[in-house]
Amino acid sequence: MPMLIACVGNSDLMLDGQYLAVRNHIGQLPSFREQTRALLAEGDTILSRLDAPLLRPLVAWLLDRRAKDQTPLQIVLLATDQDPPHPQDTVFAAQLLERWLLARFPQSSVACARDKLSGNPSDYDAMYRAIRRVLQTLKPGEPPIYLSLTAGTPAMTFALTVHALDLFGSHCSFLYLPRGSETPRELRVRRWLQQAALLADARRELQRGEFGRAAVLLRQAGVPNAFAQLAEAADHRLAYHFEEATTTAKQAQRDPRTRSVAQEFLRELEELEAARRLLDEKGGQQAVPHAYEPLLSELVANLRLAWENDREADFLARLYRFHEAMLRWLVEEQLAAPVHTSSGDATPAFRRWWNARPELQRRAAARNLNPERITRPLLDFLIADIPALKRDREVLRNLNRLTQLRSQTIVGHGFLGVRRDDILKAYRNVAGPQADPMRDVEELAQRLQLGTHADWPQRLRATLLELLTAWEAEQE
Amino acid sequence: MATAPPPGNRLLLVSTLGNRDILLDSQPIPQQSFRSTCEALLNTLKQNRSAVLSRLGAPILENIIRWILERHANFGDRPQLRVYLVASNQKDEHHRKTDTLPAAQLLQVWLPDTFGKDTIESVKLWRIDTNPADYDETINFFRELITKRAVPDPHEFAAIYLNPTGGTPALSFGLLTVLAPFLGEHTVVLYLPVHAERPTPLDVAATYRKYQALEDAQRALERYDFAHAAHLLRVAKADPPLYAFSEVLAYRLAFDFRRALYHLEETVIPASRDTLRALARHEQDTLHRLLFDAKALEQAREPVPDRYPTLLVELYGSAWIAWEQERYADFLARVFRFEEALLRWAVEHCLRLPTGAERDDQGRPRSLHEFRAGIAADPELEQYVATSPFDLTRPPTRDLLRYLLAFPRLADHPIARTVREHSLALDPLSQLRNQSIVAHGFAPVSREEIEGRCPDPLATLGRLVSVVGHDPTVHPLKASQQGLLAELRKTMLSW
Repeated sequence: MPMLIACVGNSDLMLDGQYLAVRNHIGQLPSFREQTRALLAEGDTILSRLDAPLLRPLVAWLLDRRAKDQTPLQIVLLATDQDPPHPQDTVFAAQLLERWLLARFPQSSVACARDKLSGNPSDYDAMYRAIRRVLQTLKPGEPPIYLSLTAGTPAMTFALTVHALDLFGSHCSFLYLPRGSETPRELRVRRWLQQAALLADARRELQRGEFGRAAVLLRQAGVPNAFAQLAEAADHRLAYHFEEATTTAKQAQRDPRTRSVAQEFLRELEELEAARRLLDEKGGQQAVPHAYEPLLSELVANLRLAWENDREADFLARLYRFHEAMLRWLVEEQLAAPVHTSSGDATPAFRRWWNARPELQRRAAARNLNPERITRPLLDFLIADIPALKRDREVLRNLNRLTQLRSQTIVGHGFLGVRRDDILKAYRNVAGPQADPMRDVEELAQRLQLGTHADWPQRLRATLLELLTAWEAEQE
Repeated sequence: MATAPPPGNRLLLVSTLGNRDILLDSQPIPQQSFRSTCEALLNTLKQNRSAVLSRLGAPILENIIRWILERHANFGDRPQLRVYLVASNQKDEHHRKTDTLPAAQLLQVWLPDTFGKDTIESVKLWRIDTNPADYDETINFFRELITKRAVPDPHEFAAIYLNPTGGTPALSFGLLTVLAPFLGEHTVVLYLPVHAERPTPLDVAATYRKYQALEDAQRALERYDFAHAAHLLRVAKADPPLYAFSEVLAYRLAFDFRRALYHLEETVIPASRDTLRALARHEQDTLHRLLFDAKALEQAREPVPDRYPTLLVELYGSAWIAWEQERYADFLARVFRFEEALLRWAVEHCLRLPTGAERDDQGRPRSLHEFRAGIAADPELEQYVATSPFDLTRPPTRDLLRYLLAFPRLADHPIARTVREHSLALDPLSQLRNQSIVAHGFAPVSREEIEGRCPDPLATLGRLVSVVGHDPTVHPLKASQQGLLAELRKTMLSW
């Protein structure tokens, strides 16, 4: 059953062609409330003298539109009944209107219900609460749900719009009867407000670096496809799915608004994909430190998002990888020793490199290090005597405390709970009272010039937000 | 965007205007001649400024501005109020007679004259040329003001006031739905009731934002994003036990049972009543059990299979959430841990061997002495392990654990068989995890990559978690989540 929801105002009733409302009632004349109560007491004989100048055209228009529909139109009237009673209360007007509507229109075509709104109808706050309460109890049938913005106070129409959109979503259709017109207008406000809400949600997700969810919301909001494609590409990139990210970003290139940013994004992806290919194909056979650089830089971006979004265990999982890859990179870069391995076992190329260094072997043996396994202690040992790396090793040693913490958590081998405070406490125990692991990771990456990509989520987020603002301006 | 806080005396007022907003000789100007009367006054104003100004009044704005200035009178500096008036100037001849633009132009002069040029920094006009009663038009009008940057930067003002008292419902609607959210959370809506002299500050903007935050919190709870929900519930100024309970669940989700329990007992339970209290009590039991089991496992040197199931179920829930939230690398990290813990549980259950680890004198991780002794005490088992390539001194690996479950004596053991077979299906995921950024590589991880290796990973996890007696269709935090959602709905309904 379709539904029409309308607030009842003082202009909603006429008697013998005259409005009943008394403006600025001062007590000499019967108030609107008293008049309507008195009329109600007269019974059905009064109905032929009444008119509903705002509701009648709305109902007639809706019935005409739905001529073939057999189900009655459910009309819900929202009326005020203040405590103490107020001269302009519409509670009795609503009862009169109900009777009048049932008499005026064929009984099978309309059904009526009334709800009382408690509170001052001019009070935005009170109406916001009262109308929410009433709408929550309604059980609308088939869409659309028609909402009249013609009658009622601004506070009432404001609350009606906001809550109806929220509760009934795209099923809402807002109607307004222009001054002096008998033909209602359907407002586009619904579409705009829904879009505004979706865009607000999308912006929030972008701020949090939740590109995947932002992409879905951007699509729903009907923004140019290329914007959502960029967000989707970012989501793939965060998952190191560079190929998928490339395919998606290429589509965003077609739109002139996103072309330059997509091209820059693709250039970075190309570099990342080439680095990974190089690592897969040549890593372990020869030292390929430059393959590590963009991939490590990318990991910094990933760490930042996990840290910002309070996903501590996931932050530690990534930090573990960052720590290991940093050590490998330093060894490859400084010593040209091929330490890349996918299984953890030393490769033949590394063994050759190792066998050529008997002094190193002797010292490693004294420390009980196994050169057949490329472990983090072995990697640290290899760079221990390089003075230029003293500072970097120190940072890595501090970060190592957190990789130990990671081992005890659900992303390692334990069930240890971990929150930001735990991470900071563990880290500050070794790195100093003001130390911050994320800041140290970023400083390390910058000092070692691992690449300029680490801030790409922030850059893309800023660009997407600017694009959205510009697009909204274009829509005007 | 300004970074430093604005001076405390910088104030902004945006007001819609209606025909009730100006008085001439203390009387309203008739609607039929509203525009023409105001235009005539404007012309006279040029020749005889004081005579015209002395005849004018602004019953709504005057009271509102006086109230604002009184409110900010205690600051060291004199208040500096910038005023924007929204005035209509329609093209349609039929409606032009009630337009408020000439009235706004009069007020532009009258307001600084009345309150002092030192106090009224400026009075600016925003003209709406289309029908101010048309909702579409008024919404577009306010949107355009924002996108064309006609609206000042809200960060420049210490306080912002909106007055929707005059003007059409459509203008008020646009003011509150478009402009108020843009101007931000320090915006106060003022409404001057009929016959009143002091405006009522309405918290509609705050109310609107509060409701929005509550609804966002509801969505976050539905996604099991308890940490974000707790933040939103704080923003919405929800009852402390409500957001504290969400924080408890966030701790629980992070396996920080100790902190979750402490927070629950210190913050939630003392402040909650009725159903929330019952929910908190139930949560307390769950957390006690989880904490007890986690501690027992941490310290165990003996087999403690009974301590695993609650934690395995909890881990299953954590993996489920990562999957639903499309955080696939994080999902893999949890699957890896789930597989390992499940294998350990099965070995401890079936063979009564403790599967933990300790560090030797040199700090290297080693299997427990009791593990090795347990194997040595069973000649058949010792013989079975001796034929394998595994180093028993190292902490038991997943491969060793699976090998132990394949011990012929356990061939018909239902738990050993189920865990062995189904956990094998997860093994490709553990390999993918090893290649990803949550372990040792940079391999791409996506739903497709995962499903290519294990067609329905959640179902596989479900089959395994059912071995420890848990119904895999029920999320372990579902009861808590649903309970909290019910409490939140109650708050929203009663509010």
